[in-house]
Amino acid sequence: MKKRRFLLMLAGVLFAAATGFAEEELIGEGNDGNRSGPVHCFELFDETGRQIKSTDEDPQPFSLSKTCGECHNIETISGGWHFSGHNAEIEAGRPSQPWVMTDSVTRTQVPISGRGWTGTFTPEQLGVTPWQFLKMNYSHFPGGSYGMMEAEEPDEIIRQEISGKYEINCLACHHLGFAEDQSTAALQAARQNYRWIPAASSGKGVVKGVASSLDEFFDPEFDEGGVTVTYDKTIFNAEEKVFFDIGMPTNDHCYFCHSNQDLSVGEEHEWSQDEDVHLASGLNCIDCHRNGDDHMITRGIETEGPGKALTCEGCHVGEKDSIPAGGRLGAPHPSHAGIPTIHFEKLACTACHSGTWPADEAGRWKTARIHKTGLHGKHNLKLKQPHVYAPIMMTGADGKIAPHKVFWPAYWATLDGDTVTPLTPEAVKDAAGSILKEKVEKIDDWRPLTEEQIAGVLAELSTDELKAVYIAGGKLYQLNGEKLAGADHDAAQPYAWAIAHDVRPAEQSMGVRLCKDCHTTDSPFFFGTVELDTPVKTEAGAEFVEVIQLQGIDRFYMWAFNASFVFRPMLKIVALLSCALIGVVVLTYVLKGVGVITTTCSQGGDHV
Amino acid sequence: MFRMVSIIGFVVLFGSLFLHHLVFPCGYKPRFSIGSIIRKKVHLLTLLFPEQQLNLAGKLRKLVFLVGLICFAVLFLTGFLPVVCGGKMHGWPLMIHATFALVFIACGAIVVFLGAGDYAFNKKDADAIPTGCKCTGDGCWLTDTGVGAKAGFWALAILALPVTLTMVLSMLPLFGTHGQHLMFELHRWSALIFAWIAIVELYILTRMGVLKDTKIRNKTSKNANSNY
Repeated sequence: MKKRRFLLMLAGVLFAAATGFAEEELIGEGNDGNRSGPVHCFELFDETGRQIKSTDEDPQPFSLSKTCGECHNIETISGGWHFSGHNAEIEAGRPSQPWVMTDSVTRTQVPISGRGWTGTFTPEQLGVTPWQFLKMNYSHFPGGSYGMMEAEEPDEIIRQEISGKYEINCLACHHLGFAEDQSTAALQAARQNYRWIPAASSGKGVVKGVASSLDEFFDPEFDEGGVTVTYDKTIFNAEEKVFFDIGMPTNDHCYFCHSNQDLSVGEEHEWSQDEDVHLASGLNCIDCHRNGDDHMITRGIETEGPGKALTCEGCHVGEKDSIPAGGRLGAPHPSHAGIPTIHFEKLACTACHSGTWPADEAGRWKTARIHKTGLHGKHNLKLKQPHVYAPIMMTGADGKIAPHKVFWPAYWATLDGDTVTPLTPEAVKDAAGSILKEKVEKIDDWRPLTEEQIAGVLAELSTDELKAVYIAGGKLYQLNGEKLAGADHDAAQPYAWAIAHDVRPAEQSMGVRLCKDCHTTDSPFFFGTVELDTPVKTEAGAEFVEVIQLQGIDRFYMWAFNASFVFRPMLKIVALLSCALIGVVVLTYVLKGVGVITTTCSQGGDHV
Repeated sequence: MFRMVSIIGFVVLFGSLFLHHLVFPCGYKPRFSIGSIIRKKVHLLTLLFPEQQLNLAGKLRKLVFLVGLICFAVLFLTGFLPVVCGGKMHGWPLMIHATFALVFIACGAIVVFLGAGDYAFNKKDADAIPTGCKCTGDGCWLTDTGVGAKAGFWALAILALPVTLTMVLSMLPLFGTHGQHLMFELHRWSALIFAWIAIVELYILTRMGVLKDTKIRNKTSKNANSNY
């Protein structure tokens, strides 16, 4: 009897666990198939979960994790690409644009990523705390990730108490209101007003005060003169709810962080530049870059799952073995007339269709995130460093050549065997700051570094156990005795990431003028050059490297292959003439044979 | 599929030719003595030289044939070896293949033009067929009477057209991706059949050359004996 009761109880507990205790689906989760967008009129909550009302005497900034979290699962969303950069447990994906740590005194520019992409270093490896990471990359940060990590250093714990955490800023992408301003969000982030960012950038409130300037003994609860928010009271309706124009992100939302500028064009002529042909044709970024609740936005490189149909090939070619899926969103089917199929094995679609046309010397570019563009007013930075070069046709992780952006890392490090471990700029300054801090005019660019300075710093940094090195411009510098020697090293290779946009119209694709677009002995596709960007000044002046060296293709082979195209027209003519001659001879003898047969047949018969 | 067919095809082909050679011997006797084997090799080498009684057109044809033969060997190796080994033709082999292909097709056209008259079927060939079908005589009528060589010549001449045109036309902006795939498939399959027939043709020509020389030598030695 007891045993039966126990089993009943156990069954009850399991049933309850399976049903009652299961996480309840929130209103904003799932999709019932209705394509009309829901109206977002809701109560605002602060970070403690208390509702914000128009009558509040000391209004608090609204928290998006509490407000949006009422209907949407923030934990699920935080696993998305934009918010999981710190999380090594989430798939790293294809190497992409990194964050960059720069320091003008130590002549440092290091690619950083928490995803562990080859060529990057994690913040932990560089001794950068999440708080410092946020300070470095505040301007185009979407929130979450490092912004939500608990500070561990004592002084940072205090600052985090004052500034709050940088929650996922849902509004940065989903708020369609005209007042939504990411430049304001960046300004608030620069002031370390992290918890006030959504209130300020959405235009729902006016934020005053600068958290970073507050004394570390400042108590937000009791002290006056801190950071304050004043809401526009008209936004609250009679039920104390606030309407937000929420919807799918527009191109402008994406552009704030994903814009690029070709510096060879010049700011005054920026207006002459075209957008991606897809956008010009009426598509939006999110037509291809879609996601579900998990916010794992499709990147156009998926090889399986529903994202596969949203790649270049997915829309323009479509599956061959199943229901035809080509022509999606009106995508034209490419004819690729006269292009041997080996091109599709060796090249990504972007090699011919994306970025700017390769030039003899790769041009310099700015990217929104690295150069902090799109900031208006006083905090417009006009950063020049790092020097990013594009388009460089390099072999990607999938073994296909594609256009890339690159920059040359520069940093001080220790060398153990073949392993390079970067040193933090602070460590370098502590050890050899006097050598590096020479009196030069402050410029937002490389401050020249002499070989004597490098040798001096390396001597200061080296110990009996560890050998110090400096990496810059594709070289690893180290002391051989007292003499400085620079040599090639894997760690000095440029950090490269594939670019997909802007896609050019078919008429501007490489190959539109046939083989000679790429297959000449001086074609920029293979033999273009990119500057070996370095602060190290030598008498030889600027040095360049040929793109083919970065492609990993044998130069002589490619030169010979391209040279053979000189004979290609001759090959076609000779082959066609030969075929014509053979055809005529064969035809002649076939006709002769037919003649013999008809003659033989006619000789034996009577005349009709 | 292509790889398997190629491997099986070549194995069967070379096996068949070897068997044929065993069943229908030609040349020196006794067959397997060291002296005969060495003389055979030397004889085969002499087949490469232009005969003295050839006129200018004949000498040119022979010379062009030999150049074409070298090209065929290179094309065969660069075209089939990577495939048979499980790879793909690319890089240097592809470049060499394309370079020699140009010379090969030009040689082919000249050989066809200059040799068509000699390889035209005639009444003698028509008469040889019923004789051959009765399986009379010592040798193989198909390989030794000239009918096989002529058939091979014309088969190769006709096959040279798809082999060449599939590649040349794919270099022109005429065919899209699907067309390119089709052209490539047509090229390699027609090239495979071309290679099979070319090997058989070479075997037949070699046999015929050896038989012809043997015949002349026997005739010469008979005449010499009768003079004595």
